[in-house]
Amino acid sequence: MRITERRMLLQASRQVAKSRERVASAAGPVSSGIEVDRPSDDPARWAAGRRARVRLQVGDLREKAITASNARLSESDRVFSTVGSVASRARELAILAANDGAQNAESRVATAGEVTALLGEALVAANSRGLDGEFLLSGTRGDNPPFDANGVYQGDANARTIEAAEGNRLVVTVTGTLFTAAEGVDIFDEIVKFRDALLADDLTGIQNAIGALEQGVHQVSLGRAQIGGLQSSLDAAEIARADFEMVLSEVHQRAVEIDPIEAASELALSTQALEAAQALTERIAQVVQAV
Amino acid sequence: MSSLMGLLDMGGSAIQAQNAGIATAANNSANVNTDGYTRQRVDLRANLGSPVYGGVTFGDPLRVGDALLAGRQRHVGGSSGYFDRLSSVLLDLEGVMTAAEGDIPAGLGELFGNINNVASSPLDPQVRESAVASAENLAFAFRQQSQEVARAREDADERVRDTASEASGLTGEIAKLNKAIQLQSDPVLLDQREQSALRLAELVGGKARIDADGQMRYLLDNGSVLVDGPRAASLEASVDATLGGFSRVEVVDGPHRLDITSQISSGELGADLHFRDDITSNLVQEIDQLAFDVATNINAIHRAGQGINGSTGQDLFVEPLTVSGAALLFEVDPVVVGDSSFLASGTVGQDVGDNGGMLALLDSSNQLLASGGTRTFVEESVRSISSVGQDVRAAIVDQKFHDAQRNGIEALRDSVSGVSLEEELNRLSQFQHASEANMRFVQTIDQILGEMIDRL
Repeated sequence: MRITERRMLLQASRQVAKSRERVASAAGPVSSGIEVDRPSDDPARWAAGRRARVRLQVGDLREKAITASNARLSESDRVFSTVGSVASRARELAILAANDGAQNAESRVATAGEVTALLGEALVAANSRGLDGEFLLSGTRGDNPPFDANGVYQGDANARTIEAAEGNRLVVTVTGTLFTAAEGVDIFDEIVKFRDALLADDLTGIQNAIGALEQGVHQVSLGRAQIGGLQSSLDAAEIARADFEMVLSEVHQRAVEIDPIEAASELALSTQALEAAQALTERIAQVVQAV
Repeated sequence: MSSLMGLLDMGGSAIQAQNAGIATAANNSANVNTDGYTRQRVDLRANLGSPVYGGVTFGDPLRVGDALLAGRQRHVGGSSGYFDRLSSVLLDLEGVMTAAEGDIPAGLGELFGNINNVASSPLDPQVRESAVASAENLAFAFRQQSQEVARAREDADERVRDTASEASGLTGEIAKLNKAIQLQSDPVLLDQREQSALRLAELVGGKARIDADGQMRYLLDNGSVLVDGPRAASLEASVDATLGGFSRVEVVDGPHRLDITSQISSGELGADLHFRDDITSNLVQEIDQLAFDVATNINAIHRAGQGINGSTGQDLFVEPLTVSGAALLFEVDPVVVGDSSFLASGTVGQDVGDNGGMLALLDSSNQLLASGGTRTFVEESVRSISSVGQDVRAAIVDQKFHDAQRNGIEALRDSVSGVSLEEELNRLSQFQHASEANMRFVQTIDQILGEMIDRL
């Protein structure tokens, strides 16, 4: 084949341009760490990486929901702790007041004052709001206090669930029903009845209150255990979420990021090819110049 | 005496012939870098020598071309023009679809993530506002994606008009050159015609043939005649309402007009029409379909839920009436934007803290509600973008293949018609020596004649 000088130069310069392009495309991933930057780099890998990124994004937001739910359960636990302390103190007072030898009607009226204060303390705690302003124990009636001034439950029994992991929903709230007769005894009602018995100097009523308040204390403990269980589930969900996030990050990395050794080798090879093409072009230019 | 004079004539014509060879070699060397130049050679013809002497004469310089290669070059030019343009515009489209920070997949992820947050804290106004804001971000992503694709279509339409205009200029030029070649077959005119035809092929594809009369006839792939000797048709682009206000392309030959919009499948024009009428048109439909599916499905769930203000039957997004234009008109319902308590977080009949509405919306993220019930919203949005990547990749592979083909044919053409300086310098030297020898010959005859005259 007859080769003209112009063709030789043209082919040499095209080869240099191709080699330069190869160096540029090899240098990009080395400097950015990303091999699949655009869908056309590898449509399947790009799509896998993009899907993983969306799942990571949803997972990040899910972490917020888990954290908020966990915080609410911690707040609820504090409420249960307070109510449990109140019930426990009321039970102590009931045992003391039931001692007919040491107590009289006057001292029982004084104890009733303390019980009223305890009831108030328990009701204030039970009507606490979470950080988001919602009443903690009202069930789905979160815009209303769960207990009225007499300790009667106004909320419902509907606990809330959220998606704690992909396709996995968890109950994340407890309701004030744990303080009501639905779970054993109505704790606030028992405290009210105990107070009334104190005021009426009703020894039988006081003695009955001991057992009921004992049951109330037990009920609160069960409630706290339930909260602990929910928190454990959420913690486990959060750990699973974090682990899954790592898996997704790996999926994303595998999909779009480079293999550093392979990328460095490609850069070295393409640089060598460019240098060779440049040397060849220089040589051809010398030959053509000699003509 | 008469034979000596004849020898003088022979010497003179030989000097002229060798000088023509020098001129041709010099002209070739001068045009060594001229694009499309076809090397020439001097047409030397030996005269009949019997019975006394022969000599040499020369004709017009001959063009060392190959019609078959020129035809191949035009054919590959049409394919190269098509894939060069297609890969370039697809790369641009891919760039704008992935450059945006908040694209549709990200918008969907953000929305569903925030829906779960509302499920966790349905009464928290800040969380509800965030969810509404993420719905607005998704709406923005749909509108932006749709606008970018629409802009790419408009750009393609503008290029269609420009290409039609440039192609018309070239058909006129080829016809003019045909006319000039009829009068004078100058190699430069032939080169110019070949160059114009090659550029026309790159623009619109098609085929050209040179008939026995030396005239070029240029036909499009659908058989429409663009150039017939000295007569040229033009390509006209005019707005067509049936094409959504885009241009249709017609071959106009006097009073005859032929719509060839759907028949051009080669050259830059073919690529732009394919990009405008197929690729981006399908993409717009896909984005519209996804927008329609997202809005209608989410709205159906949202309407069945209840806001914390007791509202029911409320849409989250402005309900699209048709699939067409759904992405461009994608918006969050102004009622919800104005007051996030309309966000239907609960179940109808339940109390305000119920999150059944949000959980139902969350379910929709895993349901096959997009693309005719075959994919989730996120899967479909990712597929839609990655399909552009697939098109880009395929176009680049084709472009590289045709580029290699074009380079190969260019190399072949160059091996036949290209100028080699080495060869031309050798020829120059050959013709120079021959010219000098002939001058010496003429001087010798002249001396003999002089001596003979002196002796008289």
